[in-house]
Amino acid sequence: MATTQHQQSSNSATFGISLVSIIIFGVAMVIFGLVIGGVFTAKILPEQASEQAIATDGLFQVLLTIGSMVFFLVQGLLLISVIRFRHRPNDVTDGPNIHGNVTLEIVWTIIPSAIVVVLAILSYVVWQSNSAPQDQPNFVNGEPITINARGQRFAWTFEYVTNVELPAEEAGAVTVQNDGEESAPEMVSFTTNELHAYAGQNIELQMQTADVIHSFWIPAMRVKQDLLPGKETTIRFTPIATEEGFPYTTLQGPFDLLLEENGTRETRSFGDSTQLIVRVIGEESGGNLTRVQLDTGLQALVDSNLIGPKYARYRLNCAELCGGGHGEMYSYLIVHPDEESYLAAFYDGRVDAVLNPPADPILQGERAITAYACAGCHTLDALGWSGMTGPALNGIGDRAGGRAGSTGVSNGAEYIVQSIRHPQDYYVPGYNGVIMPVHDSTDDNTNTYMSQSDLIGIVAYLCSQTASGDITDSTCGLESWQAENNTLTDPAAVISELQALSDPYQE
Amino acid sequence: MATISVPIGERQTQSMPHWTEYFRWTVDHKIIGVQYGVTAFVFFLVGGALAMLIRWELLTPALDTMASGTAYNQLFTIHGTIMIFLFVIPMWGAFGNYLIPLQLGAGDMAFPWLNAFAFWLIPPAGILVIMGYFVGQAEAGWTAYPPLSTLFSGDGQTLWAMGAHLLGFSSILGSINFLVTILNMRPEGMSIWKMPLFCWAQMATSTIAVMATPFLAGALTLMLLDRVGGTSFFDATQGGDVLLWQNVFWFYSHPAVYIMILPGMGVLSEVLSVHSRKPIFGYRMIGLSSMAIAIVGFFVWAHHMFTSLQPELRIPFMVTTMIIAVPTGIKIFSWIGTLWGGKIRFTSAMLFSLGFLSMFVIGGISGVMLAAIPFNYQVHDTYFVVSHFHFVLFGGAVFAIYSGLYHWFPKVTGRMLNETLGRIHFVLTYLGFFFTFFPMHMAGMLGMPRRVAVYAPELQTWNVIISIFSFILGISTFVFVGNAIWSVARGRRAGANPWRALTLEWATTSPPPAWNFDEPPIPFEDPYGYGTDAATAYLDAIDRTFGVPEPPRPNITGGNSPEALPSPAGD
Amino acid sequence: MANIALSADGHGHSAAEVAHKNSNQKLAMWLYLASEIVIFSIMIVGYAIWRLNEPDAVSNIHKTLSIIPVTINTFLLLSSSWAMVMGLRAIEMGNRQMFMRWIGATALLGAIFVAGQWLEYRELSHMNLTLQRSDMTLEDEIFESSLEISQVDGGYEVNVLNQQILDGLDLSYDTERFVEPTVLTEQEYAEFEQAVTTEVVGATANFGMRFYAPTAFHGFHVVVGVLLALQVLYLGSKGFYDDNPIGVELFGLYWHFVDVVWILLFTLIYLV
Repeated sequence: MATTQHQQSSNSATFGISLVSIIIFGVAMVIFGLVIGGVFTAKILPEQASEQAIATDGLFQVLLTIGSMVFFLVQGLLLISVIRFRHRPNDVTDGPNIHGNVTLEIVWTIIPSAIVVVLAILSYVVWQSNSAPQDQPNFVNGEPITINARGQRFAWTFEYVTNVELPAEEAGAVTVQNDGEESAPEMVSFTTNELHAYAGQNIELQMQTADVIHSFWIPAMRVKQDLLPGKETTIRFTPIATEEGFPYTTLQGPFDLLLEENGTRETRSFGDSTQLIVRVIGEESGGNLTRVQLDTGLQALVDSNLIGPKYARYRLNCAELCGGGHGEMYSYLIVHPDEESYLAAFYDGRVDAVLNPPADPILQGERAITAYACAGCHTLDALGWSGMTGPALNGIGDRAGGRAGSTGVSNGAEYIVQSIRHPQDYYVPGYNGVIMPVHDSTDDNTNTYMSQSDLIGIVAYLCSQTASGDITDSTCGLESWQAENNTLTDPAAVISELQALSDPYQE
Repeated sequence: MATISVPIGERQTQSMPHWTEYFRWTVDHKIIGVQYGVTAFVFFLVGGALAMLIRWELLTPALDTMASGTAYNQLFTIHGTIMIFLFVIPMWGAFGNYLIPLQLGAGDMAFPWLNAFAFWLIPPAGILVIMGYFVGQAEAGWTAYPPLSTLFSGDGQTLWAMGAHLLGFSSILGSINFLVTILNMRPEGMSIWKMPLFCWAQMATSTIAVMATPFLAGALTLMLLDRVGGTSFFDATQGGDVLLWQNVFWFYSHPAVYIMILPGMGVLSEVLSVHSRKPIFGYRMIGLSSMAIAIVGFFVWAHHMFTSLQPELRIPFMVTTMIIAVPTGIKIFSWIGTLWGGKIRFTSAMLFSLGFLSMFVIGGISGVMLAAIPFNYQVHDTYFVVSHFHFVLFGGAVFAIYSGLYHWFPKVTGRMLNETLGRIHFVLTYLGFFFTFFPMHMAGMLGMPRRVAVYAPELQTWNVIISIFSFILGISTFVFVGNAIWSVARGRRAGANPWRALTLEWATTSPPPAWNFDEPPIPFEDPYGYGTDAATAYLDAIDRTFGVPEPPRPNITGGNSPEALPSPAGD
Repeated sequence: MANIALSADGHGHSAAEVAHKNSNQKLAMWLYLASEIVIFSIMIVGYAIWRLNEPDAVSNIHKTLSIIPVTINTFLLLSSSWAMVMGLRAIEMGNRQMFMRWIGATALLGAIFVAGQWLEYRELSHMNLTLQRSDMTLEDEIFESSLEISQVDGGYEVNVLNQQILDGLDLSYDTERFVEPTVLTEQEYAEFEQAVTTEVVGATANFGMRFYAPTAFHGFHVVVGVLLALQVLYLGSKGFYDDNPIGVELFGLYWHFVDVVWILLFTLIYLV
């Protein structure tokens, strides 16, 4: 394109440019653009992990190529100008009295106009294909499910309304109501803190925010959409298998890791409740050991038999400023290689947990707590939370008893109940101006609703969080809290005692 | 017409007003101009210090330097607000105030009292904004999106909004004054097509400011009502609409980008032509493209909302946004046309203008990339955007401000800035700037959202590079501050017209006397008519009337420096 | 250009200078008013969009707003504009006494307008129309004017007088039933009452802020205008405008602008 410009300018004798130099410059410009566009497009963007990413990156390559040519053109001309037309010592004359060149001005108006028209059309075509509704959205087992994404300061939750019917006697116990047709059967639904999908699944999320504007962004998918108060927004993308494949796996305790740090090796053992997500790098020592990388960047060796099903994992950010914990408001998209492993590693288990809830309140609580936005602000290593806005929950079972005295409640368990139902009643030292919403049990349409049964499970779960990992160390002060082999001996008694404690807090 | 009959050198001994004058209410546009400029620069230093804190925090991917995420959010909120409302916009007010009457050969602005009033609104507004920081919780960013800014922020946000309101009011009053002065107070013989391009740029800028700033005022009024009056214009749960704010805010704030960059383009048109001793290439196209940018700039606002607007409304804004690249391109090519064939002098002013040209074009390219919606989805609200607008506002506006400061400092103080320090300043700024902001493109594309204190650990390398160069950029500012302080007291005497420029501000002493011109000056037929005998004769006449600059002192500027000026042809 | 000259002869004559200053001031005033228009337009357009989305609520509100006092008030403001024109004309013809009278009348009419608006606000606030989201006492009124309800065995008999009220009601049963007087069970009636209340309150509850923001902002401009009129009156009495009535003209521009804005607001809020 710019070659033409120079041909035009060469018509004006005053510019004194030879045709040869114009051609050399033009060719160099085109080569520069193509090289930059060709080499760097893939290097400066994250993995291409969705169908949308392929189209977007194609567009970006065009933009980068043309942009690089413009860059070369302007910087090149600038460089030539300042070298060739620099002021020579003792030259007291002024430059030529040239006021313009109409042809040239027309050229550099029309050519950029033409380029932007082409870019606009190209962008429109890509946009159209990327954002159009897809066939078979959210298909699981050949039928669609609904996935509701919810942003709340400062965490993501994903509610899966499945295509599995809830047995008649269970219906009504679940908070999700189907408005409208009464005859419609209620479906099993469950909530997670991470988004799961399988390669090739057309994902369509219905997104709502509980408070301020958030923005859903997975860099590897190249998609972004704001969550707006009072509106429901939709985002669509299709994860695919990438060249990197599916390198992540979850190590289920108990296991030993051979950690390598600064050249020294150190074995560390992990208890049976530990879940650790690692990136598999490769097998060593004849396949007996596997080298893995932790989120911290450390590398370790682990017994190859412990490597479970593998998946890909992509960071999911909040891209719109939402308050103090904005940077910590991230989660992950887990992409399973195919539908079978999606069902086996994720979906079937979750559905089963709803249909056959565990009797142990600690296990109930462990499931229930991930339906709330706690992860955004609190740190709890057992669940992989790293929020910094609120106090850490690691070892809360050790501290709860001590806090009870300073807040004027009867015991540690009630302190936790109070902290959830009325967070403003007591501030942990150093955390003035609490952001945490009141979780009441009055209106299940509000964003901060927490049912009594969820609360009981969550309190039991938090009581079990001791530094030693031994639930008998809990200072919650419940008489019925007795354990054997680290499980409660009489779960029902614990539940009823918690019920009695938390009833006064039910509004 | 009368020829000059004043003895050579008689008027050379003009000195600056006593320093206490600058702390008083005065209606002299030159003093007000300096008041604007120094106030703005002080705020620049404050905003820059905040930026250094931001970069210090981002050295690690965890929250460590700042006490909390909210404290970090307040940092960049106040950084953005100060840099936009208290530095760049008032700084152009400084240039406009000082130069418009001079370039038009007028004694003062059309409304001197209003001019002073507009300035004295700024210090209290600045205090409000900074108080917002100390009261706390003004954490919604300079864009202040509700409901974060209405329902979830503390009293600091109210003070912030009041400060921004006052600044908007000041900007409207200042712009009305500029427009009336430019439209009504040109001397005989200066048609609108013979006006210096800086005035053209200020005319376009002021038009935008008068028509767009009230949108900010309206939006801030509604926000204040929501915050203290109990209304719910922006509360969706109570029948309000959060997109109302985004639409109205950006309807002001996108044109505000042009408020910040157009005067810089005006400065560039002056500096490039004078320091390459060649007429500006395509005067009309440059003037008209300023107006085109001003007008089209009103129809692109929603490209800031590609991820929140209804999908079907996004496309038209993509098209208008791409179109605005065309008049910008015209300017850039015209400036290169100006350089081509000239006798380029590498003065500090010229270096910063060349720096503008080479950096601003990167901001322009990334601007077109951002307009392409599918790619925008990837980089919207990320460091790519941070990089883009710093290329436009730092690589553009700030480079132009520095260029203008080096160019007009002799006129304001009667003394030259030190060129050696100027060149050191340029090299540090240019390199520091490029390596601070260019890597931000990559960080953004790879997944770094803007306005975060906590980010993915794999992005740390990029952030460390960015932070280190940002500290260099920070240090470079002190070279300029030292140079300015030293030069005000000890700099080489500039004479009336050290650059041998044709525009009217140089046809009087440095600094100009009260009411600027002892007699109404007659403008040269073409403000950029370099390279003719008539122009040389006109410049010689100025030199004869007002005296020539003191020759460079070799022990200070280091010998035969390139800025050595052509001696008057009459010698 | 052999004729090198840096400065022209002498200064302009004082009459020309005055004319120049006058034209400067007029241009500035127009620019100022242009920016005022923008601020008002945000509120007016905001109201208009809400108005388009909520036609039912607006018709309910119109029933409750008393239009006659406001119409009188509007008439007074229009008259003040006329007084303003007459005042300007008087001073231009050099009749300072007439000028004082007319401008005095302008200030007085403006003040009465503000007082009238104050009374209207007081009445509306008694009807519970506030800046906050709140229902006006409309709810009762609508129940009275549109529905006849009587308690009967097994529930309530509902007779719908105004079928419009049924539009957009979200009920679990068919609204066709209300064509004739219908007996509803307690449960059904509770749902019905809830739905009607929500429909009425939901739409009208946001009227307060949308009404007060533009009208009060306009009222503020009238107050400023009255103060300016008093200033003009004071300066006029000292003979300030005898030679050059530009100050009066500028005030006139402002006053007419305030007037025109009111006509727009009046039409939009009270009439359509």
